Amino acid sequence: MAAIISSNTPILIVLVLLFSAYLLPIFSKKRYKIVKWLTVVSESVLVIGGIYLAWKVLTTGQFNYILGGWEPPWGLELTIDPLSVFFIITVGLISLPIAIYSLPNMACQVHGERRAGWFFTLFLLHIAGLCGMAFSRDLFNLYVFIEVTTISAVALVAADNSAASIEAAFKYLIMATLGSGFILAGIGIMYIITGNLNMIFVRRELALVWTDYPHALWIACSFFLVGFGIKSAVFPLHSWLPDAHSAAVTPASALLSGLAVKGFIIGLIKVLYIAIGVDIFTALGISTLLRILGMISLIAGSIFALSQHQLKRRLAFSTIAQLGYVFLGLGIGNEAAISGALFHIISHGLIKSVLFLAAGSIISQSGETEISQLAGIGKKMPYTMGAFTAASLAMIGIPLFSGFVGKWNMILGSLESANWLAAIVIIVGSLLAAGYLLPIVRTAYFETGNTANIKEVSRSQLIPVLVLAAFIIIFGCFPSYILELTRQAATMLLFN
Amino acid sequence: MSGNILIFTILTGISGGIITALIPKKADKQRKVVTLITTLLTAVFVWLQIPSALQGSAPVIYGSIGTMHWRLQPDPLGIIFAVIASTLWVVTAVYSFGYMKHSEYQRNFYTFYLFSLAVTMGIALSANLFLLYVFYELLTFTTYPLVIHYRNEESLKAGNRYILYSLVGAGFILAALVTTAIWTGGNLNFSTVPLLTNIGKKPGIVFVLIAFIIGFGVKAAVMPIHRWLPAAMVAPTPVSALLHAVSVVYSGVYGILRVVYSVFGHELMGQLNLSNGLLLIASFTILVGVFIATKQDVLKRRLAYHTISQLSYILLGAFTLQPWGLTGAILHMISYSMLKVTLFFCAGIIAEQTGETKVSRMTGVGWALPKTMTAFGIASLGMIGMLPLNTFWSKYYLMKGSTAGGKWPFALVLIGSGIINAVCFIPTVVTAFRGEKVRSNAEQGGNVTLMLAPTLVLATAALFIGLWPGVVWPGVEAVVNWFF
Repeated sequence: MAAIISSNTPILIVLVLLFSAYLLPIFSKKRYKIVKWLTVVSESVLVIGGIYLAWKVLTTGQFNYILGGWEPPWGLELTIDPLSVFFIITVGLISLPIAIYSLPNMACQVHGERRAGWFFTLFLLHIAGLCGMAFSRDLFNLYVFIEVTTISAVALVAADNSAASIEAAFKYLIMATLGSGFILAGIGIMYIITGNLNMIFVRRELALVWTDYPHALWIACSFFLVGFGIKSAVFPLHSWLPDAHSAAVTPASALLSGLAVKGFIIGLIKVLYIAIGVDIFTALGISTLLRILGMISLIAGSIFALSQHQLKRRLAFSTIAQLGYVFLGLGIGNEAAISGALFHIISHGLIKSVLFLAAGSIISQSGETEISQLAGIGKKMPYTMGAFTAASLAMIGIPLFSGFVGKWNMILGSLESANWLAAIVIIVGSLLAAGYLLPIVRTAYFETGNTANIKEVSRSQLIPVLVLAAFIIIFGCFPSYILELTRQAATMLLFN
Repeated sequence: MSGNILIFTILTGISGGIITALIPKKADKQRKVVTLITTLLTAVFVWLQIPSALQGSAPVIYGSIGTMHWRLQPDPLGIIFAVIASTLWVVTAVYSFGYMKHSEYQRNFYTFYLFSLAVTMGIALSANLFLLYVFYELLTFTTYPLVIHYRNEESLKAGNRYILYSLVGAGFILAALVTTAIWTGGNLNFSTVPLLTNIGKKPGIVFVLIAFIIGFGVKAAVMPIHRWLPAAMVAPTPVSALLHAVSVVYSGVYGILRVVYSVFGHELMGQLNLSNGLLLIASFTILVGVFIATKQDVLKRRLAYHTISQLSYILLGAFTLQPWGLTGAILHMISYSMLKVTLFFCAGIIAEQTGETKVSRMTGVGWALPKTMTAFGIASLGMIGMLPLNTFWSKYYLMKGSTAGGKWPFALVLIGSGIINAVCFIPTVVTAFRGEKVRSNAEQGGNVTLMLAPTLVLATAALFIGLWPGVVWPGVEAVVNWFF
């Protein structure tokens, strides 16, 4: 039994999540307690499985899992490499606290336990989709999981059934479907050129024939860029994100902002680096494009965030800016920059989920959504605001907080490739982050306001936030293991 | 001694701060006891390290954060900064027991007071540029709550400016730091051999130097990036005295000293031919700073601009790239800190006991506060550079350094600045003792004693060092021998 589990861990992680997702609605009407336990158990399977796989990859190297004994190119293949285990760990570490945070009062947020059951179905489906994306080595398989992730994300936005969230979800649906269309078209072109869907085979074919189809390949690349760009909200394609992430219920905002958008970046990385290959897409000028998109997102997202007066909207725009870092790091494209960008994925995931969950707690306790009305709340909710402050400092990139490690590596990468502009943009981005986050902290702690009836949130909602905040500091002070994973992932992407 | 003492030095402040934060709001007495014990312990730990650090055989402890290595080991320059800061922290703690007695937000004050101590010790003891940067960045955030202590609009504004200036400066340092790390292959440890010795005149090295100097120059309040400092005077007097005359601004000065002597080294700096330009900036700051100071009526603002001017004395000495100039710089670091804290303490006592904050309204204050104004007078003489005071020696060596390098015009700058200093402070003292004795003696009561005692101790210490400069000479000599 143990041997079966350990040798089939990758597929078990996805299957457990999928199965429990579909089991939840059965229990949600009468036995809501089972919903809670099932969610936590399947999330824990994800965390434990992720750590086990990471240990295996770090000690024995990467390996492939062949589904059902069908060898590629006919059968499906899962890849357990530094990149995928890194993302599995990211998903596990961030989604488990979010799930625990949302369990106690989800029923009241989405009007009824039955709907709450469905909410967790979507939640787990979404997580399963993200894990599937990380594991898949087959373009069409990737597409399937992209769709699962997208649709569940859209439904999560609409979970509380309010007018604002339905509108935001509809906007998101249209944009995201457009993105899926682009991605599917891109995959189609790749299939026509190479006759394969397995990424390794695609790349082998492409290396031989790509000079015959430069324009077709260029179009495919731009389709991927636009498709994934919409889903991960790179600047000119971001218009759905602020509405969707600010209108959703708090755990959904945290999940979408912290994880979902990064899942699509992982998808883009897989397509560009594993299926197409770094030499080819650099020759096509995609790197430059990624760099430019990254810089524009970073600056524009930060400036938009600065002009927002609502807490959740400001955080949503900051997500666009922080994803700009990841795009920029990928565009610089050397080992240090890519490993920095990947580290930024996990660190920003933690930071943004802390910020959104803390913001959710503050909004639910005080009823205020405007930043200016948060005066004095730091005294009444010291722990929540403490976590918020730690996350803010991490986002700015203060040393000893996780945000610094990623930024340091990205600056290192950009200066190694003598890209001064990128280094300056990264540093200016930190300053802008200070500009839009520190005023919130200052208002909450150092200004006085009417906070008489506000109390700290219940322990079950406080502890997940504090755990996430602790991880921000732990990864800031001891980033070695994660950094080793991201470094190996970067080497794999560049030289394999 | 093992490296643990280094960890203790830093951890004492942090744990003291945490304990202070946990003590209930009302228990002021316990909080003061914790504060005193923490500052004293830290100072003792630092003083214990003096002999080994001056010999260059101090205990060491190192590790890494991800791919970056860090290392704690005091060298002569570091230990001198650590001794100055930790000692003044004890003195200022006693002063604040008196000054802050009736203030609000005391828990907040003492907590961040101790955190800042720990972070400053980190800056002083780190033997690695990366770690220095880490603590330098943290210092901004541990001192911010102290700057905005009163939480009115003015102090929040000053806090914003402080954060803005500091973060922009930190950005410059970060860019320069990463470039240095790339050039040296990730080795950022300080030793007697400067980091960039083997790199030589690489293209872009000038920009790295400028970025470092802008970055650290923000906290050293070099003109024209000084404007946060006068604004930060809205903080309570102990904060102004300790942080904005010594520890925060010294961390900037210390950073520049490190960059000049440990990262670039005086030989490479000489090859880069930037010395004259940097000396000009320092001289400009010296003269303009003290000139603006004479125009200020609010005593604390006058002292702030005067700080800006005096910090550049140290930089001037460092930028001469001469052993005598560095001697003067280190001596000035030691001497100036005592005198400036004395001046700020006096200003605080005057404001607390008589309510006067403006120089023009201080007629007769001296009769009400005779001891305070005597201390103020002594410190004023020191700022001019008169003989029985310690600053005479630093000024002497600064001038010697300027002339030794053939840069005698900068010696004239120092003389000119001395004259403006006289114009700045002598009239203040004279005004205080003019007029009739209408005010009653205001130097009675426990609070005043708590404030007065540290003031007088510092003034006496300054006189003592002025008369026997040999006391600090071994330290200064060790620094100069370390770098030359």
